[in-house]
Parts: sequence; C-alpha cells; structure tokens
Amino acid sequence: MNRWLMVALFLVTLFAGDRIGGALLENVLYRSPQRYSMLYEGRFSSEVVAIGNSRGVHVLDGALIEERAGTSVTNIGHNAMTPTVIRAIFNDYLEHNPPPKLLIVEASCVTSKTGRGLLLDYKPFWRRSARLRQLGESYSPNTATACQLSHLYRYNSEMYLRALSYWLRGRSDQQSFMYQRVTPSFIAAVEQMKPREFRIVPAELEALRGLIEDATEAGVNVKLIYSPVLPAYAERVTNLEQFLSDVSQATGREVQDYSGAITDASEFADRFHINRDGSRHITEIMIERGLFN
Amino acid sequence: MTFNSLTFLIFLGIFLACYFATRGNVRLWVCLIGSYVFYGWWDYRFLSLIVISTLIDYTVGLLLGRTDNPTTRKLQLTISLCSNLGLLGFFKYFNFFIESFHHVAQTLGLGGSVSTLNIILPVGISFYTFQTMSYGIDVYRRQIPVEQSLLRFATFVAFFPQLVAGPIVRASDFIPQLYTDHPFEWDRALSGTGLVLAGYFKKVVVADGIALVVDRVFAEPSAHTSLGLMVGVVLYAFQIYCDFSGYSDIAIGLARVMGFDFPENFRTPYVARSFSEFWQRWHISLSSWLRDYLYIPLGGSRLGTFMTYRNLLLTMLLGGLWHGADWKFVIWGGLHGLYLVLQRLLGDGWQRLRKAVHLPDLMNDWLQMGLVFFLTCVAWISFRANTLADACDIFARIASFDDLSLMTIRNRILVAKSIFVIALLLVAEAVHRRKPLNLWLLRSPVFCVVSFAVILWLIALFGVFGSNQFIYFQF
Repeated sequence: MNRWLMVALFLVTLFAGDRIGGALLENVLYRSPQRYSMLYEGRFSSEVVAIGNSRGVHVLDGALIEERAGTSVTNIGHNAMTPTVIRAIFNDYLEHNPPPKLLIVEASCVTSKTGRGLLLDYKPFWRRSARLRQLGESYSPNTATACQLSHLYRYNSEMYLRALSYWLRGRSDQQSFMYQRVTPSFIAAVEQMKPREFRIVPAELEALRGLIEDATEAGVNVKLIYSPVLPAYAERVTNLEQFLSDVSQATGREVQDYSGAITDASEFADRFHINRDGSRHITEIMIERGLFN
Repeated sequence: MTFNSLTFLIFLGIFLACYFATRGNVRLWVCLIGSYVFYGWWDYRFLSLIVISTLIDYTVGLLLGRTDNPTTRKLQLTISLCSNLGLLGFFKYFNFFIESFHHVAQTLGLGGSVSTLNIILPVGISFYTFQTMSYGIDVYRRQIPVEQSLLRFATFVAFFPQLVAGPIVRASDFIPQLYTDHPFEWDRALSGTGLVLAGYFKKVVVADGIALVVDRVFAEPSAHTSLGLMVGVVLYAFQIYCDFSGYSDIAIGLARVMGFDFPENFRTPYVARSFSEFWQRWHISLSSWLRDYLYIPLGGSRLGTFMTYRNLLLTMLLGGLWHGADWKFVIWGGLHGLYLVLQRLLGDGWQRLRKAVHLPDLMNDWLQMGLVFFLTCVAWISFRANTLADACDIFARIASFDDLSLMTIRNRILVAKSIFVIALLLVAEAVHRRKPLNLWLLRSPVFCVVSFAVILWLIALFGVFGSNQFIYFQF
C-alpha cells in the first residue's frame, strides 16, 4: 500500500472510530440509572434532593430514606464535591427536572477547595452542562481542548465507569453504603492525633450562599446538616462548634448538627464516614428529628 | 521530562526532524545535545555527573588502550570502577549506610547521634553508571576496542531514550551502531512506532490506572482485609511490570525509529516456569549485566555447590540493593536469591515427583507458572511496601487469611477497570508469543492501521494523564 494512503487511512480510521465510539458511549451514558445520567435526562421528580461530598452521600442515602420515611429522596452528591460544583449541579437539576420542595446540603463541603480532578471527573456531562464545562475549562483548558480533539477522551473518567457499571447491573446508585469498620488500632491511632481545626474555604462558603439564594429563588427550602464524625476524632477537633456557627452566620441557615449523633464506633468506616450500620442508624435519627418534613 | 508528558512529545518532534536532517558528526551532536536537554530538563545541575562519568571512562578507555602492562591496566580499571561506584555510592547509598551503621551502633548500645546529608538522587544514575562501568571492564578484558571519539562515547553514555531507566545497553552493542548514519526506513518506523504505542499503553493505561488502586492499598495496609491486600499485591505485580517494560518498549521503539537496535528488556516474565527463566525474562539487561560482571567473576557455578549458592545469593542481594538504598530492596533481592537456590535444591525432586504422579506437561507448566508468579508476588510486597514494618504487616495480614471480603477496597470500579486492561494486555501478549506482532505490522497495512488506531482509542479512553513518573526513575 502507498505510504501516504496508509497514513491517510490511519487518520480517517482514527477519527471515525473516535467519533463513532464517542457517540455510542454517550448513548450508554444517558441510559444508565446513575444519578447524573438521570439528572441530565430529566428523570428525577423527588420531593427532597440531598447533596454534599462523600459524607453527604453516605449520610443521606436516597433509597434508605425513601424506604424508611416514605418521602421521595434523590441524592446527587459525589465524593469531594465542593459548593462551587454543587451550585452548578443543583442549577442543572432545576433546569432539567421539576424543583424539589427541600434541598439538604451536607455542610462539611465548605472545607475543601474545588480541584481540577473533581471537575474533570464530570467531563462526560460537559456536553449537557454549560456550567460544569465552563468550570472545567477554567481549571484545565488543556483538557477542554483534548475533549474537542477526542470524543472518546470525554468518557475517560471514573464517573463514566460508574455509570457504565450501574447500567450493566441495571440498578440505581441511590444506595451507596460503606462496608468498612474502624478497628481498635485505628481508633487508638486517632486518639493519638494532634488537635486540629476545621478550616472554611471562603470562596466555597460564598458558593454555598449563592446556592442557597438560587434555591430560594426557585422556591426550594434549604436545610444544612453536619453529619456524624467518629467520636474519637471529634474529640481531637478543637473548633467544631465555632465552625458550625460560622457557617450558620454566613449563610443565614442553622446547621443541624449530627456530628455526635452516632456514638458507637463500630458504625463508622473511618474518621469521617459512617458505614452501612451507621447509615441505617442515622436515617432513623434524622427522621425522628423531622429533617425531611 | 518524562516520556508521558506533552513536553516530551514536542521535544521528540523537534529532535527527530533535526536527527533525520543531519549526517555524520553533526547527527551525533544532535543526539548528544538532545540527550543533555532531555536530562537537564529534570535538573541541569546533575548533567555534570554524566559529563564527569563520561570523561573518566573515556580517558580510562584511552589509557587502557595504550598499555599492555597488567598492573597499570588493573590500576586504571580500579580508578574507573572506584569513581563510578563512588558517585553511585555517594548519591544513592551514603545516607543509607550512615543510618544503618547508626542503627547497629544503637543496638550494640554504642548510641551517639547521626547526621545525614540532604542528597538528591540523580535520575538514572544507576543505569548510566552501570553502562559506563561495563565499557571500562570490556575494554580491560579486550572484548571491545577503545572508542577514540569523545563525541561518540558521550552519545553512547547519554543517549536519551534509555538514559534514565534503561535498558542498560552495552558498549559492544551500541557504539558500533553509532558509526553508521541510519537513513529513515519506513518499516523500522512502523515497527518502532508500534513498540512505542505498546509502551504508552502499558504505562498510561495499565500501570498508571492500576496505581490508583495500589497506592491506596499500600498507603493504608491496616485498613484492608486479607483479600483486599492480595488484590493490591497482584495488581502491583502488573503495575511494576507494565510501568517498567512500558518504558523499555518506548525506549527500544524510539531507538528503532532512529535506526538503532536495542536488546529486548522484558519477555513476558510472568509466564516463567522457574526463577532462572524469570530472570531471563525480567529486566534482561540488568540480569545479564549482573551475570557477566558479578556472578561469573565471583565464580558462577564453577566452584562447587556451596559456592554457587553463595554466588547466587550475593548477586541477587546486590541486585536488590541496586534498586534502592533500603533494606526492603535487599530483602526483595535476598528472596529472589533464595528462590534460585531452592529451585536448584528442589528441582530434581520436583521432576521425580512429577513423573511418579504422571502429571501432564500442560498442568505441570501451569503449576510451575502459578508458583513462580505467587512467590514473585510475595517478594513484591517488600519491594513496594512503604516501610519494612508495613511489609511485615502485609505479610501477616495476608497469611492470616481471615477476611475474604473486597469491601474495604474503595474504588472497586477501578479494580474492575484494572482487571479489564490487564486482560487486554495478556491477550495481546499471548498472541505476540505465538507470532510477533511487529511481523503482522509489516505484512499487513490494514492490521497496522487498525492496531495503531485501537491502541490510541484505548489510551484516550482509559489513559491516566498526569505525567506520572516511571517507577524505575527512583532507581
């Protein structure tokens, strides 16, 4: 075969495969029962929407709350989520789905900075979300260019693998438990830790205020909660009360404090996350305290 | 500058254009300057070490060529070895030996304080030091002629594709190739590019993808179950293989595009049925270096059974220490030495047992392969663990075999992805073992077009793009 013809054939194959593959993967993405696929397809119609970082995901288990409280709950949180991203996603939610009555936000998200990794994980949804795309572009222009060059690259993300996995298993991702259990040696190590403080990231606190404004404008009631912390770790944190009061003051909403609601260490997976037993326990407590009313 | 960075791709484009546009000494200058730029991009100060090493061995080579007096020649070789090992010893092992000495002193109750130096380990020092040492030894043994051109010798030492992480190319293999102006050849470019793409797949898709799981497991071994740790260790076996052999493939492929033939450095090591076979398949350039310049000079297997075992153990212990200044690497090397000794001790017994129970060949092969892989993984634990204490903890937890749940592994989706890409790799390697893929590339343009495109699609879809360092850079 002529060398130039071979090079041309290679480029055409590469381009065509990339475009066809990209289209196929996008098709699968929006068939998935994964939370963001559902969100951008407008398949939610819940009374309550819960959002936050991994703590929010495990403490506000959509399927469990729905089963126990009889209220329809959708959790659209994700690991390491920050208010900047939460605000973009909740506004996308309002754009594609009927507004919920109540939005519950897990407030520990104000302690993390918005990072490149988090935003790039959402790149499978950039085509449907101008907000996420703009954020992604501002953090990584190279990635945005790469997504233009390769449509397959758009789906190179853990988020996409999750969507694919739920699609293959045919089940929703609203139930998301952690199964680990802290060990006595882990607790002993935590007890030896130096005292530490929770630090608020000002830009993220500002984004949280913006989120509350956006939600209120759309007629959605907003509640802030702070989820359980391993008791041994809570003792090491010197400013938990101050932190909660600062968030309350800045947002004008009381942060409902569940940090000490679970005292049994066996219901924790690590310092910050409750496990399956903890999720079940905290759901009962939250229902009892009328969080979903 | 690492192979998996955008900067390198730009550098490579400019370099190849200059390389093929020039001839003779100008081309050698292009190679040398390009190699120094490549290395200096990381830290230009350490270029001086390469230059010093080059000048010493070039001069020693010239001096060796000018005298036949055995005493003088021995002295000249000693100067070369001492200066090379001195550089390596200072930059790589100084703190290790000081700290180890201090620990021993403390154990003996001699106490005292210890002060170490803040020494940065220059990238690739173990590789280019061994390369230049082999030149001095080969000239001393009169196995190769003395290289008269400093430019050519400096290019041999610093040639960028294999400078920082091998393969360790012998002077006898490479210097003669630097005498020829290799024109651009389409077939070489195709097979070289195929190898480069395979290397990128191994590194960016398999190794870096697996690293996301493995790093978590080894960072917190106490948070994982027996099965979780086993998964982490097995995945690490593939991570290090793909990381290192991926680098070698890229290096060999780039050299092939430029017209040079470098020896193979990995040959599907995890299908080895014995440890001697494993070392003929794993980091071949290092194992053959250790065989030729350490094991055989120590007496090899010529001095009786006990001395053979001693030589094997010593060679593998030093091979372990070559990897890093830490006892965990020494233990790794020691374990492999022990495996080689045990294999010699028990090999005949195994064959007798096999005949007695009429074990079919295929089953015997699989059993041996499984055993070698299992024991290799055991050794990888001490190689990868962050500390020796962690390694012991992992050994103990796996051996306790108490919890066979995978639930402690957080991103199980990444484990599934890792298994999928490893399966792809194993299938490709199985096909390659039956009929080398580069032959397919040259015979069928359609196969070439499709396979290149498939590799690039897989890289786009599964690659991890963070310019992650190659594991062997630290050695």
